[in-house]
Amino acid sequence: MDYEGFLDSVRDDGGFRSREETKSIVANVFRAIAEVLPQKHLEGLSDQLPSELMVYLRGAHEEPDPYFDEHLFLGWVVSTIDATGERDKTTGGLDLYADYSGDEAMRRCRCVFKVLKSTVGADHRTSIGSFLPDGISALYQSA
Amino acid sequence: MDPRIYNAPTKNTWCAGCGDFAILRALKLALAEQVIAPHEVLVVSGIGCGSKLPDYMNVNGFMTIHGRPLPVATGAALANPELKVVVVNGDGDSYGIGGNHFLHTCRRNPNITHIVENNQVYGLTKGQYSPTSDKGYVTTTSPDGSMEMALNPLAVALAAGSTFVARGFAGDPKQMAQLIVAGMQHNGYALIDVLQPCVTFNRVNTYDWYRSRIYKLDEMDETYDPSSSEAAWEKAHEWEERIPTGILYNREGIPTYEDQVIQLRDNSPLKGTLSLWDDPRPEQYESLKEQFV
Repeated sequence: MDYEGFLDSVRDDGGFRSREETKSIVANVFRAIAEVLPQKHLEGLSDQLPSELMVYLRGAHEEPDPYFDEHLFLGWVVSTIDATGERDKTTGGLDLYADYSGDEAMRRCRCVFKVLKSTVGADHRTSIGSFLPDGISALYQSA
Repeated sequence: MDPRIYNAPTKNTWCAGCGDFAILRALKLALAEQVIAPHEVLVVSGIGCGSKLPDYMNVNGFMTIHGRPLPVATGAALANPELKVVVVNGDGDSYGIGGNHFLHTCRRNPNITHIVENNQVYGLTKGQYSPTSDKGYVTTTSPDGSMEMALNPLAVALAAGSTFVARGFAGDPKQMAQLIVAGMQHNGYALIDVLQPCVTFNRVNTYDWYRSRIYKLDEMDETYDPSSSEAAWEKAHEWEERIPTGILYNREGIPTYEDQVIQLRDNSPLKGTLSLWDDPRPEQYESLKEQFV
């Protein structure tokens, strides 16, 4: 699958409003993956993913921080969510969107994971899941 | 020691993905590494999102009024020098409302570790610009961009006489835990300013923004000498293009505030008239209850 196809699939699956928004979501999920994926793992992936996506994985560390957890992973993705100016779904609170932005971030991760899993081979599909923080790994498995 | 010993059952109300989660985790890891029991620690905070942290830990906690955790912590350190006193608060609480206390704590050098959750915005009050917001930063209270120059907390700390100045990044919890350990082992006031993205209200200084700019001092320059105030001053002024993390300045051998208080030389106040440690008699509890409860 090429980069454009990857974006189209994510956008169709998630119902995102624009191509720009989809690009931003994909970029941040991949950057978060780069935080937990050991550098040596990139070599095999470069044959299976479009180069535009590999760019985001270049930030991978030789030895990922063992304490990088699901909260940090989601942080990269929550940053792509417009937390203000949306309809207030809280009960009387003023946290316009923040109250449930975690759920939305997980939904966005799931959309990207689904397309990612369909793009890479079985070996990489399994190993990527094994590097993800616990809560995120479960999300990946279910995508 | 298992860091889970510091877990508290309180429901966490931080936004998903908040950098404060990493700071909370790093603090627990740092305490566990030093094998410090929960009753041996006091975490003091003020007001703000990050100041909710003591509520999420099974340690002694003191959430005081806005901007005042440093003097409260100084009092606790004076009363019981054996207590490990840690202050955790945000950039607004530390450098804005508590700015005066920050200056004087730097020069007094009490034995306190001060972790600042610096997200460059007031998160709890929904995103107003803070003392560390960069000039031009657009918020509800600065629709045309902040007109004020951002405060440089590391440079201020150095100028005010702080003996330990470090910077961490919430995206690097391992390094952050190491910095907290180093700060707690430093004899005197230790400032650890943590760059912590506010995922809800700060859309400029995100994890990605920081990740593309920060570098670790000890990895980039093995010859960097943290005992040099000139080198630290230079590094404290790096921002925007490249941002250093790690220990910028560490000067040992300076007497702490506690060291200089004559009344503390023989014994701490807690071990004096109010002591229950050496002679724990039931009537003393009753006497204390009458006085303070």
